[in-house]
Formats: sequence, structure tokens, C-alpha cells
Amino acid sequence: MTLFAACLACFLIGALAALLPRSYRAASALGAGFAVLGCLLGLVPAVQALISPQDWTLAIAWPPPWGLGTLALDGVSALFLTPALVLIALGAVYGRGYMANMEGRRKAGPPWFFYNILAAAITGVFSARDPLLLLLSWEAMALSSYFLVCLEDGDGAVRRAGRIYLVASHLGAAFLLVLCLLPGAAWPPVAGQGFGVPGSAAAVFGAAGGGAIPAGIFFLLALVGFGSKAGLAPLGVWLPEAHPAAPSHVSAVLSGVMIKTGVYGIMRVLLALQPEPWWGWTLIAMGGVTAVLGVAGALGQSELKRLLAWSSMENAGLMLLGLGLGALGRAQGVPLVAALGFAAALVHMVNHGVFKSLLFFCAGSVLHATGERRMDQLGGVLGRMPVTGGTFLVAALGICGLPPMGGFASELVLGLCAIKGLLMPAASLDIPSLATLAALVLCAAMAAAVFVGAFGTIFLGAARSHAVDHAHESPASMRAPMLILAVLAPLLGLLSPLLLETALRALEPHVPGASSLGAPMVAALTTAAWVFGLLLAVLAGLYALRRALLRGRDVRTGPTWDCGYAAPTARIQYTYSSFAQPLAEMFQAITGRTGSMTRPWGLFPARAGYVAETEDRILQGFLALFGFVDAKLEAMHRLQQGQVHVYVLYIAATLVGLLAWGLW
Amino acid sequence: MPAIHWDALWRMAVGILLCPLLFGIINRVKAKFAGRTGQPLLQTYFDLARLLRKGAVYSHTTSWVFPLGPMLGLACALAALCLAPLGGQPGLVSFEGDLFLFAGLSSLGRFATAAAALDTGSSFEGMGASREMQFAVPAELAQILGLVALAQATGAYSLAEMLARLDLARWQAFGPVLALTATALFLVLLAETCRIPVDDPNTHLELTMIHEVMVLDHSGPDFAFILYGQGVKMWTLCAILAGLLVPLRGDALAAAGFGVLGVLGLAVIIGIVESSMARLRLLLVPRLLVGATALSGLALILLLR
Repeated sequence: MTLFAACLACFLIGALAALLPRSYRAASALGAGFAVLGCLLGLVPAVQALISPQDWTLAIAWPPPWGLGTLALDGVSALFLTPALVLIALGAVYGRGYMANMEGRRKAGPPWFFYNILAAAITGVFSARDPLLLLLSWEAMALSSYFLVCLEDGDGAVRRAGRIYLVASHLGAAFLLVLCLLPGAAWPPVAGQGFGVPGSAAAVFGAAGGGAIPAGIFFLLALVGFGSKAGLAPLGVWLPEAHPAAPSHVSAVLSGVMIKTGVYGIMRVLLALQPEPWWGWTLIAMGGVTAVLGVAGALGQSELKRLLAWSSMENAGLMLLGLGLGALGRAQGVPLVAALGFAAALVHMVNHGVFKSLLFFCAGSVLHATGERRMDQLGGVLGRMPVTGGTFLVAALGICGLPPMGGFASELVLGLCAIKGLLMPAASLDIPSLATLAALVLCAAMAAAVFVGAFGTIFLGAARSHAVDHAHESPASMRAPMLILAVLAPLLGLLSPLLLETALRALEPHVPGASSLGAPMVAALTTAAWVFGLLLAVLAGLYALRRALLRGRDVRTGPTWDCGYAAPTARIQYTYSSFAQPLAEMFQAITGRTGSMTRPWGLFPARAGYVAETEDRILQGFLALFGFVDAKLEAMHRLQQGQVHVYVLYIAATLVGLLAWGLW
Repeated sequence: MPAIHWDALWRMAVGILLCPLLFGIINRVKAKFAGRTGQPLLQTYFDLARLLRKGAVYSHTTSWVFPLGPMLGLACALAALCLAPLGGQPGLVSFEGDLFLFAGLSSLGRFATAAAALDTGSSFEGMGASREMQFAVPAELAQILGLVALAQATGAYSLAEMLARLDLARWQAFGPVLALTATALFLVLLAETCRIPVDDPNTHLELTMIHEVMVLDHSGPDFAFILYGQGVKMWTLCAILAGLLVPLRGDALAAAGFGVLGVLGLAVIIGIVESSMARLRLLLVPRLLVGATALSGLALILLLR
């Protein structure tokens, strides 16, 4: 508890300390240093809470109007908090290197102030045990991340993205405000809330309102409020805009950590209340749509960071699918499916944090070195940036859910949960399980296409433009976090049984018997990890064999075979846009236009081209909706005359009306 | 340490030794249909031996990803062979949900091959990689849904258990479902092993190729790994499909014997398919594979209570 308090204090001190020095370097060293120190301090209690339940609570005595705030860590909180702290610490180290070249252009204090506030706020969200404290942390998180997204505010596109993010996050927060301020609200929510709480609004209006607020209302409020942060379609419109606009270490924290706060919130509600079957159906429908829409959207993006943002949506969808199955399992009284579904969401949350942060770090490293966001202008970067390229490959394998990375383990748990649900005697689990399975497999296969295309276009082949010519490997402070995560990704695959066990243990208080029910799954993952080892051993054997075979033989280099044409140029290579186009067009019906094509035209055609840029239909839909609402509300202007006697007339008319109603 | 079926080692050895023979059988069937004598049955073994003795030529543009492709592809195929049952007898390891690992391994091999293809910077190889990844989406969906239908029909969670429980009685009970699944898995087999009507292994026009065009630049031992990896992959997929189609079991030796006969029989059927039809137009291939997905889905729907 002392360490946890020290962790929070460290973030807050760091935030202020970063503002003090005049020198750029001192400010960034202080800001990053305190963030890392705070994370390290916080990791100790978080890991302790993972191993055994902790019974401390940290009560903060706020001044009277706000009452008391309490913080505590249970297994679920700790499981979310541990990767969050690791990623925030690595992000701070990376960010210091990433922003080093901004010296002289802007101040280091404000970004590090907001970074530390964001760290404290995220820690607060994961550990708050009080609705008001949750709300405060949530708002602090939304605002500090807004300022971080808008760091490069000289760019109009960044300002636009920031505005969309701010609007979306406040619309979501409005629902949370209701959730947290409902009569007798508690966090995590308790069943039968608002019923018979003396003095509460529900008790006063009890006769009219019909007593307890139905639990479904809580679920819907949480789904909209938290879901908008998690990137759930159609609420997560801000995600593909804000993540590419932010500096890369912030994108990594937003994608790797912050969208998990949304998953966390929904999960808390599902674990605290008794879900009804329609909750699960809603979650699975929305999760499936989000996942497929996310990966189809990612396919049609030729800018790497936009692609990664869409892929975050896909992964949030997969986590939601896990939560949906978990909720259904609880609702139908099938604890096995409940335990596995929630555990799948938790395991995927950890894994996604690792490889998505790594991907954003790599994207930032490429951007830093080449200044080019468009993948179609890159190529052959691997030779110039071996660390970035190698770590990107590891992360790409992870995010496609390929063995031996951690991503495979989480998809295996989710898939098995769906199969178990399908084979259960409870017939009502059939269709949701099948839908989950289909969405999962579709996403995994499409993600493989997306990321082999992205990796191949950026890092392999020949350079497509001069942007690559002067590319150089990033400084050590950026490479080190990337290397750490690149080691973690396969390690989480090999140690996946341990991770699943931890997740099941964290769920034990909410789903009794989770650990024993999930034991066969842990055994299955152990065997899978054994096969991973076998795979790596066979690979090593083949490597040795190939070396032995080629030793002393005639090994030459020559031009690439191009149908007999011996002078291929870099321009004839497949670009990402052309690579993804056939598959993207298969999903045109749901994503809309997938790219802009310039066809060869006329008797003497000159230029032709194709650039993948899938439009964001949801964002356009929201803009159209807001425009419509705006136009309709315009009609109300007629009431607003601006003349006092008209308003007096309104008051008089209302009074007469009420009088007539009373006398009736 | 998980439970390992050590007796599966000799069944794996049979697969490792016999898989190049499958290409020989297919070619012999095609030759018979065309009225030719055809190449020797053991031609692929000779090709492999020749390639393994050669040096290699690499393109200037390639990096370490290029030689990694064939090695990882073969390693994945061999690891998948460890999971594949033969004639209802388990593979080296089996566990709940191993069908996902099975599909994941083939997906990893495909990822490595496509990355190696993109590493050459050739427009043709990029084209092949793009097509391969595109067709993999419906193929993988059809494969997993088909295997899940099998899981539901048998009430088992692992490949070995599913196929062990398949016998004549189960075919009588779930005939239509199993037939639909088998058809879907056969279409997946044709797609994954690059046979007609999805891809033509004998074509020599880069524009029409899919898998072959991805490996144009590999030579020597690297190409031997690719060729052999294809053989192992074909053997593995055929072994699973044969386990489904030939529900004859017996003691370990007899069951494995039926399995091997089933695999060789499937090679003959592939030869017949290749002799009797032409390659589909490329734009029609996704439809064929989406059709396979629909068959798997239909099998699953028939099983819904």
C-alpha cells in the first residue's frame, strides 16, 4: 500500500517537476525519470496482487464536498495494471529518445506533465473503488491524453483529430457521468442499486419510478461510456483519427493501455452484476462487427499508423467477444464458458498491449528515420534499420495470432471457449459461439494479409523513394524498449499457461471454481508451448542443415528474376495498396470505397495509380447525424426571441397551463 | 511435460518418407489420362536429391528474411505433421483445441513464404503473395469451420480424438454433415496444396501462377525445402481428410495402413481432378473457396439443435 501510494505520488511529483527546469533535456529527463520510477514502484504491489489477494485499501481524504476516495487492487485490477505500468515505463524511455529532436522547437515540460498525469490517471482508473474517483481519473485520463494527441498542433490534421477525440470522449463520459451519479452509485456497481437507499433520488421518487433501477440500464450506460473508449464500433470513431495523430510513444500508450480501460470498465460491470443473456448477445454482436470492420478497415490504409489504429479496433473487438461469451456463460449458468471467455479477454488484453505498443514504437522509429508515413513510398528499410525491422516482424507475427507468439495463445483460448460453448448442452450458446468463432478466424486470416503486406512493403524489397536513402537506426533509448517488448512477445507465448493461470486466479472471486475449470486449458496451452519449442528446434536444425549444405558451394548473387527482364526497378514492385486491393475489395460492401484509382485513360495514357484509403463510414455517419440534429434544432431558434416580454409571456403561459392541469 | 504418443513416431516417419511419392502418383495418374508414359514415380525424390546437391543464387535485394521463408515453411509443415492423426491414430501430441494450432502453423508457413516473396522486390512475386494471402482468408475459414463441425459431430476437442471417434456408425448417424465437411476440406486441400482448379503447378506463365510465382527466386537447398515442405503439407492435409473419409479402424497397424491407403487414394483423386478440369479463372477462385466456407457453415448449421 505504501508503495502504491508512492507510485501515485511519484507520477504527480514528476508531472510538476517536468514543468520546472528551463532546459529541454533536464525537463524530459525529470519527466521520463519520474514516470519510470513511478511505474517500477507501482509494479511491486501490482505483481503482489497478482500472486495473492491483497486486503489493503488506500483511502484518500478529500475535502468534504467530494467525500472519500478509495483505491484498492484485486486480481482483475492488477492484471490490467501490470502490463499498463510496464508499457507506460517503456513508453517514457522511448518517448525521451523520440522527442529529442524537438529540442528548440517546443518545450519539454508540458508533454511530460501530461504524460505523468496520464500515467496517474490510468493507475487511478484501474484501482478506483469509488464512483467519483473513477470519474475524476477518467476525465483526467481523457484530458491529458487529448493534450498529448495534440502535441504536434501546428498540423491542421492533428488539430482535427484532437477535436474529434475530445468530442467523442466527452460524449462517452456523459454516459459514465450518469452511471456514476445514479442514486446510490457504487464502483464496482452492486446489484439492486438505488433501491431503498435512504434519501436517494430513487427512494424519493421510488413510488413513481418503480424501485430499483434495472441492471440492464447500468450495462447499457457502461457499454456506451466505456465502449467509446475501447473503440467499439460505432462508438470508437475517434480511434482511427487520434492514434495516428499522436506522437508514437503516446500512440503506443493509447493503443496498448488506454483502450483497455474501456474493456476494464465493461468487464467490471459484467463481473459485479448478474448478466442477462441479451447482454452477451449485444456484446458479441458489437464485438464481432468491431473486429471485422476493424481488420477490413486496416486492410485499406496505406499509412502505417492509421493501419495500426484500425487494427487496435479489431483487437478491442476480439476482447469484447471474449467478454460477451463470458457474460453469456454467467447468464446461462455455464461457469466453464464464463471463466474461459473472461480469461480469453484478459490474456488477449495483455498480449495485445505488448505487440501493439511494439508496433507503434516501430512505426515511430520508421517515421523518425524517414519522415514518411505512406508505406507505398518506403521499402528495403530492413537493411538500414535491422532492429526496427526484426522487432516489427516479431510484433506482426504476434498480432496475426501466429505461433509461437503470445497472440496465438490468446486466440487459442478464445477459440476453445467458443468450441466449448458450441458443444455445451445449453443450446442458447450455439449461435453466439459460432459467431465468435467465425469472426475470430476471419480476423486472424485477414490480419495475416494486412501485416505481411505492411512488413513486406516497408522493410523488404527495394527502396521506393529517396526517403529511405538516409534512414538510420534509431538511438539506443528507442531501441531498448523495442527489444524488451520483442523478447516479451514470444516469451508470453511460451509462458502462456502461466498467464492463463494468473487470469483464472484473478477471476476466481467472481467466477467460483474458475481455476479448476480452466485447468484442462492450461494443460492444452502447456502442450502447445511444447510444440512451439519443437518448432523452434526444427527451425534451428534446418538452419544448421542449410549452412552445412551450402558450405563450400557456389553461392552467388544476381538480379531478381522478372520474367527474363534483367533491369527491374523499385517502381515495379507491388505496393501495400496493390497488395491489399484484391482482398479489400472482397469486403467493399461493409467498408465502402477502398481506395482511389487513377485509370489509364485516352489514346496515349500517361499516368495511372491506385492508393488504398478506405473511407471511414462511421465517422461520416456521425457527422451526418450531428448535422441533421443541428438542422432540426435550428427550428427551435424561433422560440428564442431575445426579448424579455416574450420570455415573460412564456412563463405566464406555462403557469396558466400548469394551473389548468392542476384544476382538471 | 505433456503426454506424448511416442508410437506416433513411426507413423510420422512413414509420412516423412512417403510424402514426395504423392506428387509422383498425381503425375502418373495425369499421364495415364493423357495417354503418356509419364515421369518416374520417384521423380520428386530425384529432384530433391539434385536440389540438395546444388549451390544457390540470391537476388541483390534480398535480406535474411528470404532464406528464412523456406526454412520456416518446412519447420511449420513438420510441426503440423506432429499434430496430424493418421488413420484415427493420434499424432505425436494432441490436446484440446489443437486444430487452431494446426491452422496457425500453416498460416505461419504462409506468412514466411509470402514475406520471402516480397523480399525479392519482384512484381510477380508480390502478385503471388497478394493472391496467396487473399485466398487464404476463405480457405482458413472453411478449414476451421469444417474441423469444428467435425468436433461437434464427434463431441471431441482434439484432432486425434475427433478422428478416433469417427467410425461407420457415426457416418450413418451424421452422413450429410460429414459429407459436407469432407467436401469443404477437399476444396481446402486443393487450395492449400496449389492444385487445379485453384492453381496450376505446371504452369509456366508468371501472370497466372500463385504459389509457384512466390518461389521463383529460390534455388538449391532452399528450393528443396520448399518442395519437400509442400509434400509434407499435402501428406498432412490428406491424412486428416483420409481419416474422415475412410472410417475403417482396427488395431494400430491396420488403422495406420488404412490411413496410408486413404492418403494415396486421395492423391489418385487429385490426379483425376487435375486431368478432368481446367484451372478456374482467378476471379472465380475466391468464390470457390467462399463456397467451401459455405459448405462448412452448412454442416455446422445442420448440427445446431
